[in-house]
Amino acid sequence: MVKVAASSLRKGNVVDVDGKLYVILKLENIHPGKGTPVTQLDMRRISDGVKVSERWRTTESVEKAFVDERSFNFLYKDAEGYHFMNPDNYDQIVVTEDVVGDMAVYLQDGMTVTLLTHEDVALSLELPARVTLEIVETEPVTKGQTASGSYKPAKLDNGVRTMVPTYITVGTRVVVMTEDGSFLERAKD
Amino acid sequence: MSRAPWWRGDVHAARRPLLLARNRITAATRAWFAARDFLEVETAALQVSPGNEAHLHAFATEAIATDGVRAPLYLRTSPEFACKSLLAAGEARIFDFARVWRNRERGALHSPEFTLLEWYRAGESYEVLMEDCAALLGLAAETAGTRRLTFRGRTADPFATPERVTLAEAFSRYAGIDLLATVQAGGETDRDALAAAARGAGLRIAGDDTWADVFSRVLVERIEPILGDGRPTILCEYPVSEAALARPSLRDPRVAERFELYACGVELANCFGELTEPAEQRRRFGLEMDEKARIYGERYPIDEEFLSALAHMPPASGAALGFDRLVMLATGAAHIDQVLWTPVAET
Repeated sequence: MVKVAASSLRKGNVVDVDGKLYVILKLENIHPGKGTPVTQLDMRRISDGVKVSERWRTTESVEKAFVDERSFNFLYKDAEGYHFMNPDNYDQIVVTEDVVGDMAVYLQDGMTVTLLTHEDVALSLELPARVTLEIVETEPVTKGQTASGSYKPAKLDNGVRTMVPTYITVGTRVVVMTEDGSFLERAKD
Repeated sequence: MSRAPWWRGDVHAARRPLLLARNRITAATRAWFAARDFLEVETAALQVSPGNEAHLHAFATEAIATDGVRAPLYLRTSPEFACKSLLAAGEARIFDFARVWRNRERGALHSPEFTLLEWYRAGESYEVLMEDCAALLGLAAETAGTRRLTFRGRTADPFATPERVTLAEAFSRYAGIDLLATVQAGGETDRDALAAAARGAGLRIAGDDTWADVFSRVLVERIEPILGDGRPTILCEYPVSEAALARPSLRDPRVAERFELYACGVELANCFGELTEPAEQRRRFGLEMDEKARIYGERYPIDEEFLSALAHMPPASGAALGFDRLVMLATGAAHIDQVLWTPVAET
């Protein structure tokens, strides 16, 4: 445990409140034009999964718990949850649906992700910043549409919708950002 | 951050309609003030003091004179000192689209660099500013082509007369707390009484919370989120200790002539019947800087030139409106960066 100011907390951090551990899901600092700024948090209690809201002064001292952060490889999903393996010792860990959330669409066979764990319980998952996916739907290329900076809607093979440059065609493999699905570049493979 | 950069063609194309609305609202606002005999002023961004509020953090820099001598200067957190000095100089109606800087602030409603629209009326009451605020909301909505202000699923009618609520009424209505029972005639406050009342209302109070901290907790947790729902709200008559640059009310010395404008739960503007007594202003700045030193270990200088000018300032009322936030509510933007032509880099 280490004492930190509330404003230095980040999503995914684990805090100890009255002897119970909570993982931070969402956090926003509110600064009134005048008056005391506060840090507003949505957190999940690790013991029972109950979600709570809390507010602290940004300068208030909070107990932050140490968590383990290491790479795991994605194996498969079943009724139990998402299975990952530690490539160093082959230990497996099951991550529940509520931790994976919207990120599920980007998980690929063997993908290396970062898992935050506390006493072998997965608290949050971090995807690689970029993934390569295939375009399955987009308008055909029309002659004359070569201006740079011109984009059109497209659908990726994981179902995510994005915007791509007009020269990209169905079947092209592209690199997108996992944070918001935005197009980065044509894949080099 | 791993978001697509704002300068990319598609990202910019998505933001562009909001930016064009911003430009139209700016032009319409300028015309609105000009039609009412206001002069547009452009005050200096570099100041001796960035403002003396305990919780406002400035960007500091250093002036180097021709002989190499160094002196601290700050980017202003508001154009208030400069505008008031112009009133002292004899101007009567002025407005300033002021670019201002506030450190330690970043989020959906906070950018470290933003535009504060300030306007001042010499010899006029702060009630007139309430009418100005209502008119500017309607003007922004009309110019953006909308009938509704929106933020995070909340809406407000920009053409409705704002609801007017005092702090005492709001604390009683939304938290069951008798606020003014914890404020004495001279403005002194009773920390333990307010903390006990807030605990009774179900709020968590920290052992080292001051009266002002508890006041802010009640405001942020129980009152602000529901203000400006359906129609704009004017929250007025702040306790004097929460209004560093406002004059005390003639009706009740425990409260000051300060109001805030809210719409969709968002704080949009802060307005004062201005304090014009240099000695009292110096005393309040001292208290604010003591509080800043206690909490953040830092204090900002007192702008002596400003205090000198204050002695010559006529009675006046003044407003500061977060212009970017107004554009957000009129365009339905979810984040302030969507309405800034070039957002400030994430650090």
